[in-house]
Amino acid sequence: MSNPSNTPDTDCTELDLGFLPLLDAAPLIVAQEAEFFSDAGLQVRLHREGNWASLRDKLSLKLIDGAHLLAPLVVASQSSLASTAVRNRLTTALSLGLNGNAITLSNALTEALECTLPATPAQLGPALKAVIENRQSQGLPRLVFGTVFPMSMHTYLLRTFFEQGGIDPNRDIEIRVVPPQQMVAALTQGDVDGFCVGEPWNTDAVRACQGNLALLGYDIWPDAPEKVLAVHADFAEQRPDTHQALIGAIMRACQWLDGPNSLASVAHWLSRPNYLNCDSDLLLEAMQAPWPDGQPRWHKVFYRNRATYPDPDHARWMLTQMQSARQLPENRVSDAELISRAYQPQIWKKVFKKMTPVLSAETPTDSET
Amino acid sequence: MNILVIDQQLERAQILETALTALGYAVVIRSPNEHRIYQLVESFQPDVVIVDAQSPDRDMLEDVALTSDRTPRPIIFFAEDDDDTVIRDAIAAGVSAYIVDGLQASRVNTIIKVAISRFEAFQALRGELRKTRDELAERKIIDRAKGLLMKHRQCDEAAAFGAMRKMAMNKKVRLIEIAQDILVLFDE
Repeated sequence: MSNPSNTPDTDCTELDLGFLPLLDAAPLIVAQEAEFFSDAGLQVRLHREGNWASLRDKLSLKLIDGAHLLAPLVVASQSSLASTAVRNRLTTALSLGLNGNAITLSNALTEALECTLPATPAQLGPALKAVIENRQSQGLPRLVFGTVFPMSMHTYLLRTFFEQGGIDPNRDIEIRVVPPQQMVAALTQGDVDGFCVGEPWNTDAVRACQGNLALLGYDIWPDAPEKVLAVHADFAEQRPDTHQALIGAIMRACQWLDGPNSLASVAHWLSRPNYLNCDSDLLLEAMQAPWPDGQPRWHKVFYRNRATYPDPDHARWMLTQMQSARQLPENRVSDAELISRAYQPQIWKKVFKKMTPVLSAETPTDSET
Repeated sequence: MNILVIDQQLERAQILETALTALGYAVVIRSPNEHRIYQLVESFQPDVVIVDAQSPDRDMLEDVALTSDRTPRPIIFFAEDDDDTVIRDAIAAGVSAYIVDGLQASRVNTIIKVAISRFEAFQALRGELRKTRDELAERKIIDRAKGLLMKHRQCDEAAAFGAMRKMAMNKKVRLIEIAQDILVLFDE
């Protein structure tokens, strides 16, 4: 393969990147396994982490150079939240794909609903509101919904859906963090009545007959952002060439992932013990399974629809959500300043321009779009 | 003092439990597959949480810390890293205390005490901030109530304030409560 980025490499090009064992860590893993990193003159070590907080802290303390991270965590890092007292100014110039989340409800809650699942937000909203009002009149405790992190798209998609259905997410329900791998158990034991997660955890709950697919993240917000490649702001500032080489290599991986013949290799790579450490058949299924109505709408998009572009409008939306979830401190920089520090599309544009010859030469011939 | 230990490695947790119990702390170890952290935090009310840095439960504790006023401060096993500067930086940054793998019982007490004192300093700072903010908010409400009273009774500022103070003294409540009543009364 050609060397696409002609990295000057005046600085050290050994890099440590962190990820959580999830499907959408695929761009990093593919860039490594398909040797897009080494093509770009980068020697990358990938480190699997156990939770988002630890990934964020390691990035903030510069123990790693970059990470597969929840997009809202990058925005939050610029707002000096009380719980993240560490000076963790993070920034991003690359989105790692769109979509991928769904809402699953417990069997008990499904039975109480006067609508069939899966549903659209317009159907499910009023049905849930009726259940909630009924519970309130009986003095029953609030319904609890699981999310993966306070500052996550999962939380904000849930809140958006509730707000649109006339349900106050601060008062009428409770949103709690449950690690994805414990979601199904929490649903089974009645600790949560529903949850919003990525795959394969929704499919998992359905297979175990413990829950029902209710709603797609896509139907709340089509092509919603999700994870990004986060780096420390100092890294972006001090090692711009390495940062751009890194983005270019992952961009190639994203395009490759959306190509027609990637599935088998992706499942094979991702299933390895040092990555997701799971059955490759399960991954294949999670990546291919159609939504019950036959539409592939809930599949991750890695490259199409400008999926890699770090859109400042996304950051602005997250900021609004953080405000309504009361997650932001009162004393902070202006929204515009915060967004321009967190999301840097100008870097993406530079890399995209540089990478265009390589990317068009590698454009999949048999596109699934 | 109550300490909650959350560790994927049960053996390590037990070593820690022995050391902590000997120091006179009340210790609860959460078993690896128990996911009810919220209930555990509520019922046990830990003053300190010691958690394995790699445990998925850390994200739950972030939520607990964000949503509850009684914030337990996680202390974290930073098992794979024993670089002293890193640990120092981490503690200085105020996140947590980091305990390195292969810890000695003799060091545990010191680490916990440092973590707690750091945490308390942080809490005090936060409390002061909140107090200042509350006071400001109260002053604004009192000013608005005073304005309303001046308008409705057509009196001057001193008279309005005097009336409010008198009401507060008669009812034996704080001035802010009278001000809030006035806002409600005049439908503001």
